[in-house]
Order: sequence, then C-alpha cells, then structure tokens
Amino acid sequence: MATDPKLHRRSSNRWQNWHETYAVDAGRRYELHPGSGGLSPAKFRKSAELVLDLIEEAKAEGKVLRAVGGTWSFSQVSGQQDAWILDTTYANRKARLSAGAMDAGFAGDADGLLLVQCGVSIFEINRYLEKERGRSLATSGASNGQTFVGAMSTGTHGSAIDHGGIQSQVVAIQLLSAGGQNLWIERPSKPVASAAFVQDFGAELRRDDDLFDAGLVSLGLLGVVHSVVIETRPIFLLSASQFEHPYDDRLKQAMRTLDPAGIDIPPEVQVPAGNPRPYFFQVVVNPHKQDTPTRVKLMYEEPFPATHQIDYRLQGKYGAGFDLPGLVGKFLDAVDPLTPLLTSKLFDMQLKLFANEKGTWGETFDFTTPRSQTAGASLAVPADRCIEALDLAIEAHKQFGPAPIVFACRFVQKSPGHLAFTRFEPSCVIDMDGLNSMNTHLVIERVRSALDAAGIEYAQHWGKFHDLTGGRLAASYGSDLDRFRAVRSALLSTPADRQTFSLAAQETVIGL
Amino acid sequence: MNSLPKAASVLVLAVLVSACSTTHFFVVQEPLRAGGPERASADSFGGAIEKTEVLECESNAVAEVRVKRDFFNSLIGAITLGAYQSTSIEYVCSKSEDDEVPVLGGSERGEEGQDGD
Ligand SMILES: Cc1cc2nc3c(=O)[nH]c(=O)nc-3n(C[C@H](O)[C@H](O)[C@H](O)COP(=O)(O)OP(=O)(O)OC[C@H]3O[C@@H](n4cnc5c(N)ncnc54)[C@H](O)[C@@H]3O)c2cc1C
Repeated sequence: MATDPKLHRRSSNRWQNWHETYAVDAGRRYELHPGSGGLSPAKFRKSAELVLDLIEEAKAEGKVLRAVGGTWSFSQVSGQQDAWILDTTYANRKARLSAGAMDAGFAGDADGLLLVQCGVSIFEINRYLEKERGRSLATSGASNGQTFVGAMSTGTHGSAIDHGGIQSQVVAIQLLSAGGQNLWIERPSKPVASAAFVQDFGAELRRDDDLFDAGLVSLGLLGVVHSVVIETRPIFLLSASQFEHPYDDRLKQAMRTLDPAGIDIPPEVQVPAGNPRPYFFQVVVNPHKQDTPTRVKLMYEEPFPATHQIDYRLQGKYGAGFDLPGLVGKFLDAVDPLTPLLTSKLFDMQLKLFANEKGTWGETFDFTTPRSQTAGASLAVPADRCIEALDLAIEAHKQFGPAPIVFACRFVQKSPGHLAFTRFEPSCVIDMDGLNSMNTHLVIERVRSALDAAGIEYAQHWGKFHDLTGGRLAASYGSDLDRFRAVRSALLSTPADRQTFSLAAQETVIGL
Repeated sequence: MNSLPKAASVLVLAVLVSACSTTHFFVVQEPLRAGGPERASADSFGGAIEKTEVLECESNAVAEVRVKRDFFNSLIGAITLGAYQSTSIEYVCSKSEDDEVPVLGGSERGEEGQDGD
C-alpha cells in the first residue's frame, strides 16, 4: 500500500556533521520522508505542505529552521545550535518531464531533464542516469555523498574545465519559504515548465533572474529548496591518468589558461587524436618539498562503449582508521618537525600514478571512505592569477608551517549564482586539504592574508573552512552580495521571516 | 632540542591509543545513506544481561554500521576481566529506493504519463 509523505521527529536532538568537524544540540530534529510509491504531483504537494507548515511552526516559536543535506560541509553552514534541523536526505524522489510538461518557449531536449527532490544524492543521480537512462551529469564534486541540492547550495565544483560549478546544471528551482510561499523559479531567458505543470505542483511560477541566481547558491538562507530540475548530458567515459610533472613554466602556463596542451604528457597516456582538450585537469602540489614534482591528473572524454559494465560497488579493504587523521593532526601539532616527512608520505600514498583508467562520471567520482577530522578550505581566484596565488600559498606555508596540508588546483568556468564562489571567468580553485590541526588552520589563514595583502581577488568555498570577515565578503562578492540581500529581503519581508532562515555563523559577516 | 622528548612521549601515547582502538565499518555495497551517523550504546555485562536496542530508522533499513573500540574501552574490559565490555556503535540509516521514476506532464512521447493524482 502506498504511503504519504511525512515528517518524522527524531528522539535525539544531538546532531553532528558527517566528518565530525562540529556537533550541536538542535532544538528539534526532523526528517522529511517521501512516502512509498513513485513521485506524483499530489505527493509532491503534500510533501511541500508539510515543510511549509513546519516553517510556520518554527517561525511561531521563534526558532531557526535549517535544512540539511548530506552534512558534508566542514564549515558550520548546515546544523546550528538550538535550531530545528530538517534532514532532507530521505526525500529522494525523481521524475522525468514529458514534452507535455514543457513551456512553449522551452528550447532544449525534455528527455535530458530530471526533476530531483531535495534528498537525492549525487550517487543516486549517477546510478539512475548512467544505468537506466544512458545519460550523465556533466560535472559534480570529487565524490558522491552530497545531496544535489546541498552541493549546489554551497556552490560545489569539480575540475571539468569547460563547465561551471554543479549548480550550472540547474534549470528550475522549487523553493518553499515563509508565509506559505511555494515558488517555482526559472530564468526568463530559459523557460522550462508550463504554467499548468507548475500549478499541478501547487507552486507559483516566477521567472526572475535575480531570484534564480539567489536560489542557486543560498545556504538555506532563503527557505527550503524542495526540488530542482537539472539538465543532463549523454553518457560518456572518462579516461583518467595521473603523472608527475615539474612545477615549471609550461605547467604554470597551462594552469593560467586551462590549456594543458603544452605540458609533458607521458607517452603511455592515450590522448584522443580528434579531441586533445581534456575534460578534466587538476594539479596537486606538495609544499613540503620544493623539488617534488607535482601530480597532474588529466581525464579525456571518450564515447561510452556498449561493452562497458558500470560498477559502483564498494570493496572490503583495510585502510587508515576513521580517527587517524584527527590523531595524526594533533600529533603533528605537537611534533611539527615530522610534518614534512609524514605529509610527503601521505602525498605519495594518496596520489598514486596511473594511466588510462576508464570509468563513467559516476564510477570516477564515487564513494569516499569517511574520515573524522580532516580539514579543507578552498579559494577561487581568477585563473590568470592562479600561479601568483599558489606561489603565495607555498610561501605562506614555508614561513608559517609546516602543516599537514597539500595544495590542489582545480579549474572551472565562471559559475552562475550571486553567491557562487567560483565567480571568475575562468576560476582556478586552490584547495588546501589536510589534517584538522592547529597548524593547518594557521597556514590557511596566512594564505588568505597573503592574498589580501597582494590584492588578489578571491572568494572562499562556503562549505569548507572559511573565515569570512565582513570586509572579505564584500571584496569577494561586491554588488552580487547586495543583489542576494535584496532578493532575501523581498522574499522574507519581516524580521521573523528572516530569523527563521538565518545562519548564526553568517549573521555577523553577511549582515543578513 | 626539547621537542625530542616531547616527540617521544606523544609518539608513545599515540601508538598506545591507536594500537588499542579499532574501527570496523560494515557497509552495504551501494549505500543509500540517509542522515548522519547516530549513536547506539553497546555496553554489555558478560552476557548476563541482553539488551535489545531498536535503531531509529523510519525506512526499516540500515546502510552502514561502525563499531569502535578505543583504548579506554579495552582497558575497562581488561580491568573487569571481560565482565564489562563497552563498544561504541554508530549506525547510518538507509533510504528507500524509488519504486519507479515516472514521466510527468502527459505522454507526448508515447510514454506512460503519471501526472494524475
Ligand atoms: C569528502 C568531501 C569531499 C568534498 N569534495 C568537494 C569537491 O570536490 N568540490 C567542492 O566544491 N566541495 C567539496 N566538498 C564540500 C561539499 O561538497 C559541500 O560542502 C556541499 O555543500 C555538501 O553538500 P551536502 O549535501 O552534504 O549539504 P550540507 O553540508 O548538509 O549543506 C550545505 C548547505 O546547503 C544547505 N541545504 C542543504 N539542503 C538544503 C535544502 N533542501 N534547502 C535549502 N538549503 C539546503 C544547508 O543548510 C547548508 O547551508 C567535499 C566535502 C567532503 C566532506
């Protein structure tokens, strides 16, 4: 018997994020369940009503309501002390849209669209698209545990060099907000769903660029994103290789221009004759040993052969312990002379050399073993200033380190969304990944200060460790921040509305 | 170099603590994890008392179980000659799969539309 969507209130209010970088006592914890059976407009209306009622209840009780996805953000952007936390991950229904659902002005291929509810994870999308539809995501982050909506809400990105962040695949957003607002938001220049279709979902159609750009990366500050429609692409294979390359002028030029054609690609790497531009390009630098070659990862697009068996299954194996990164981080804080040695060992272990490994998008960016107490921060800079910024980061590490940290550079096109941090045309993202230790945080902050001092424009990943001062935020986002604020004030017109969708950590800095 | 004695003591402590801690992940092949890890206590008294703990998974399914024993758990077990065993257990619920992925909005392409209520 099919059951209806429902909210389940959990008995324990203790909440922690996936990688255990913080924990809070929530006021209440809820889960949104989709009910059994496939998605229908009636079920979707019911699900939205439950959330809208919850919003009003939280508001009446003066509580903040935080929607959370996979809780993969390291920074305190999802759960919050005393807030009511709405876990969206169960709400994982998907639907295709027929040509009959489309607006007359829709210019794309309806067959490539997928409606995903807020709890659908990247893995679920990959598996459905690749195994059942012969289609694929064009881009995502480096692994698959986030919900699509949680990932877009912080502007998650990969290193597909001709694509923007994950949110660049979104063509419609269903946003539930204060005062019973159930909005279906699209771009005026890219209409998707017909008015009748939207009405069937109990939503109000709004074609508004500012609202759309605010909704793409919103950190839950506008309301609860109940679903999005994404554009997908035909399935393809990636042929991935990782090799050593000196940090020399040719590589630096490739990093500034997103064009690795001029670097020394080892002969065993098969470069497609007709299409030598890689789909994916990444460079990882070990700041502990200046003479250590970088690790370059290139992936080339290939047609998907009918013989390829897609396999995402996890294999049992021994690995570093769950708590090991935290333990080693603390250890290295106490004994920092060992940091270069241990980090270099980790660098070699984690970044193995290989050539021409084939996989679909979902096979390539798959499950990550969870680790407590790892730390990550990312800064996007204009690609033409990538090397200046990276050299400053290496120098900051030399002066204020050592820290158990490496620098990875990934590259993306300018991404849509007022608060998208990959906002430069194109962007080089410097990921500072390491163990969660005092030294790691110290070096990360020194890198930011060095960029401030050098006058290099940058913006920080919302979901990773960041230290956004009011000044840094305004410098990063300029008038886009004002646009986001204006949309939020219009949508959440009373102080009580805004309080319901606030985020303490951001309050002081964004001034929302 | 007074960091060396410090290094040695921290190293000894780290080895002690980590050598006596184990983590086992039991995870299904293609996990559909929902929510975060929840804690379930698993203290036992030498088999004399059995406690059935019901895991709070609305979907009736579990995606992952993490069993952790740390240095202190092991120490208490040793001191009480195994009579008292303390293990930290965390579980992650699983979500259910879509029964079907409907095509909404009519059946213009000859597919079965499911746009009715
Ligand atoms: C192992 C690991 C690998 C990572 N790899 C990458 C990477 O390759 N590239 C990259 O850019 N980032 C990466 N990240 C960061 C991560 O992708 C982001 O932090 C992402 O936002 C997490 O998504 P989530 O589903 O876990 O959302 P959460 O962390 O739960 O939430 C993120 C934000 O979205 C909001 N939110 C979630 N759901 C909703 C909703 N339904 N409505 C409104 N607001 C909502 C939350 O309130 C919060 O502000 C990685 C993180 C980890 C731990």
